[in-house]
Amino acid sequence: MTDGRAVVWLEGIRRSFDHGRIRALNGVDLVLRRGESVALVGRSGSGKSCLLNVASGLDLPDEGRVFWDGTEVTSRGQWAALRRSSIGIVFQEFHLLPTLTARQNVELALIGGRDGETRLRVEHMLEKVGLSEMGDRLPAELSGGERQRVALARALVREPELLLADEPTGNLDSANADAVATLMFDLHRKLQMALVIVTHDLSLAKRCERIVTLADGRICDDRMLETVSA
Amino acid sequence: MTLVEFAYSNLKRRPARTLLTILGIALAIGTAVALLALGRGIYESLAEGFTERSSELLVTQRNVIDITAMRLPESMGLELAAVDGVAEVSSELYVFTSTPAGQQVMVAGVSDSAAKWALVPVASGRRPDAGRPEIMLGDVIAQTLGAKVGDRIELLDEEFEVVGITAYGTALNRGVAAMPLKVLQEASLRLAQVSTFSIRLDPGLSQVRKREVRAAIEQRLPVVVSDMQEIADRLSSDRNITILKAVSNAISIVAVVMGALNLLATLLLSVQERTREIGMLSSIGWSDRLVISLIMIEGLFIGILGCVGGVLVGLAASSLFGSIPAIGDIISFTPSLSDLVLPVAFAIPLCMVGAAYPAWRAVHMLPAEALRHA
Ligand SMILES: Nc1ncnc2c1ncn2[C@@H]1O[C@H](COP(=O)(O)OP(=O)(O)OP(=O)(O)O)[C@@H](O)[C@H]1O
Ligand SMILES: [Mg+2]
Repeated sequence: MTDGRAVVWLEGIRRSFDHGRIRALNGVDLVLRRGESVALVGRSGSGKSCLLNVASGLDLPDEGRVFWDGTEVTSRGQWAALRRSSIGIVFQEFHLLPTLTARQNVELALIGGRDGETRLRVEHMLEKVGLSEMGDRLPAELSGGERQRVALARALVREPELLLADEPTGNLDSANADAVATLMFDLHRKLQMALVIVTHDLSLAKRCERIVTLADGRICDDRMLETVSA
Repeated sequence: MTLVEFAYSNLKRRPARTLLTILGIALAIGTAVALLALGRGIYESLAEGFTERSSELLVTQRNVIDITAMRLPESMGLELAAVDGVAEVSSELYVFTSTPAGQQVMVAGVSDSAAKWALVPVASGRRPDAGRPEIMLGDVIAQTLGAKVGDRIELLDEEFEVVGITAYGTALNRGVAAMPLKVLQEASLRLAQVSTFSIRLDPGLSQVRKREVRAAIEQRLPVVVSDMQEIADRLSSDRNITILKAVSNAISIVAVVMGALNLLATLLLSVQERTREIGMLSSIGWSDRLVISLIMIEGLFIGILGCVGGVLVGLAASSLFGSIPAIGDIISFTPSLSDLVLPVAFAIPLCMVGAAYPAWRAVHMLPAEALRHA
């Protein structure tokens, strides 16, 4: 549920590649509000991933401005600090390090910080994603769904205000996809964080409060859903 | 898990590569250590050699460095003896020559005083008789020439009988042959000429008084009076030795730089391979600084282990070289602390430089680009 205040505010975002030949984002304005759940849909190549990257500072726009909590974010350093404190990201690929255990993969997100209670927070998060018993396993010893849950725990261990998920269930079979999706919505409510999911799966999109549709680098539809199915 | 533990686990992922890089650096440092020990060994062998033969002070020709090129009139001995404070004077002639087979021999002509010859230690045989064509050999030169007591050898177009083998301990003296001064002067056509004088001062002189005596001699005659340490210092500034030292220093530097390049190549490869992983670290909030620290720590790990290995390799190589007769008999080969510390002190910052470029490479891309990397 949202209180209506903006977390991220994108204004006139343009991003092109290949010396302007590919226009991935072509003037996007979008406000993401605190605590809401948003599905980002659109055909392949419509700019969904690019939009998530710009909204998290993994990529920088050629034109346009991005505000976080009302302040414009401009430098890579600012973005890194924001991702550290307030933005969690998961991808279709899990990006786990094969030689580290599930627990160590989650700990990666806390390295270099001054957070106390690292161990406790990691255990707590592993428990939330249902992997308490598997913390010592290597990624190779986990199923796809379990791996994505480790990635989710890594993204959420700092309890961010915004979770960006780029086709998080794209590499999973339907049973695992459903379990991971349910977990994400669950945590979205429990941790009261905004959730943006890029997906091609319409039934997953319909579990969100809002659906934003992209086409050719522009937002062509942005609607709130009446009923929210859990 | 801390940053350091993570860096360590990254190195363990490619154990063979990590070990090879460490080995490469170790060999580089080991080479530098051995070469520095060599340079210093040359100097110290000279110093030891002179002290072993010790009389108190050596009088040499002014402005001449090569001892075999020094020419002083034998009669100068009387003038030296006349200086107040000088108790005893003896003279030596040094000739560098070769056998008909081309083997080079340093021959020392020793004053025909019993006291002077008494200082020459005998391993076997006896000391030469005054005025006779007899020669004593250091054990190393005897071995080189394949000569033993009772053999005859030809030097300076004359035949000499080997009557004894000396029992010197230092490499310098073990390679020298000795014969009576007069005999050498005649054979080398340097009648009434000597290379150096050795003098002993009156016992119990104060340091101040000793300096005064030395100054008095140097004022009166075209000579330099030195103690044995000073002689070794001067000889080691000899051009050949200086060149040798410069060459070994240059090779040391090249070796250490190669070690650092080795590290650079390895880290560059590993950063390249981990591009996506570094993108992932950015996505979970790692700052550029933290990523750079990670790569630098990985470099430091390899650099430090390489240096530890290098010190061990250097010590092993030095003791190995020292035990090879062809090398160990000529120069002493014990690395000092400075031989060990210097290459390491040079290598660690250089390794940091070698790690800096890969570290910079790791963060120069935008994270989105890094994550898309094949
Ligand atoms: N780094 C890049 N270099 C060149 N072209 C790029 C780059 N990133 C994105 N593009 C292009 O920009 C356009 C939008 O890409 P984007 O990845 O955002 O699409 P998408 O909506 O996420 O598609 P999909 O559903 O297939 O993931 C595509 O045409 C893509 O080829
Ligand atoms: Mg995409």
